[in-house]
Amino acid sequence: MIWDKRRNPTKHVSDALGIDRWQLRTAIHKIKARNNLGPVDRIIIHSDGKATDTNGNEIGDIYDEI
Amino acid sequence: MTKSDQTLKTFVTFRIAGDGLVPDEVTELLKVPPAHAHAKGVRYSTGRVEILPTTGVWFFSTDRLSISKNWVEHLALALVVIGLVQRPQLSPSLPAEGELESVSRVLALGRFLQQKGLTATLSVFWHGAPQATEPQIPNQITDFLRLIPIQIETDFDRDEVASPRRSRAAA
Repeated sequence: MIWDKRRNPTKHVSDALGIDRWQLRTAIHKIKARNNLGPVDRIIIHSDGKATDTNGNEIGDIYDEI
Repeated sequence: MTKSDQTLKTFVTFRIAGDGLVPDEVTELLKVPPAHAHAKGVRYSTGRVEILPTTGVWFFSTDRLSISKNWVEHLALALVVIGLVQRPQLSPSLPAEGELESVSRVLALGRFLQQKGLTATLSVFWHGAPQATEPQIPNQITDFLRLIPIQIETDFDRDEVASPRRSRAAA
């Protein structure tokens, strides 16, 4: 897990995934929209790019959105 | 640097969600294909992961239609989809939408949401350079959207200011 905060991920998270921060934020926005979640809803980003909700369910993948 | 130059990415998503959502009904109503849609409980793949959705979602994103870095243009595109702005003539065989048709589409959307127990959300995404000014959504638009009812969300942020590297002498 590389990010689990409610606020937007920092640059070190996008660097860890090898993408720009605007690309990471774009991907997160679309993953959340696909799951009917808003900007303030918390999701967890993993080092392989997968995203899970707070219950541990997979809800998307950063690399599928860019 | 102009304001548009300071915008690194912007787009607007519009989503309709609810347990009773039937994606084709929304597509038929709005007359625009979604970026993605699924019904509750129907598995789908995003490519690398398989999702079991806990609710139905139909969503549209303006960055499929425009690469503009002007958030106002993306918001206008989304409002065309919803029906708040008249649909322009897209081809000679498809006549431009009249004012009454546009209004009736908005009213039909509000009725549809109510009858089906669905929610609608318009979300404005913007990511700017460190010194960029965040967009200001006019109150008239947010107030009108709430009447339909459509919630409006903003997802704004800027790049972080690069911290200066500390020299060994300073450390």
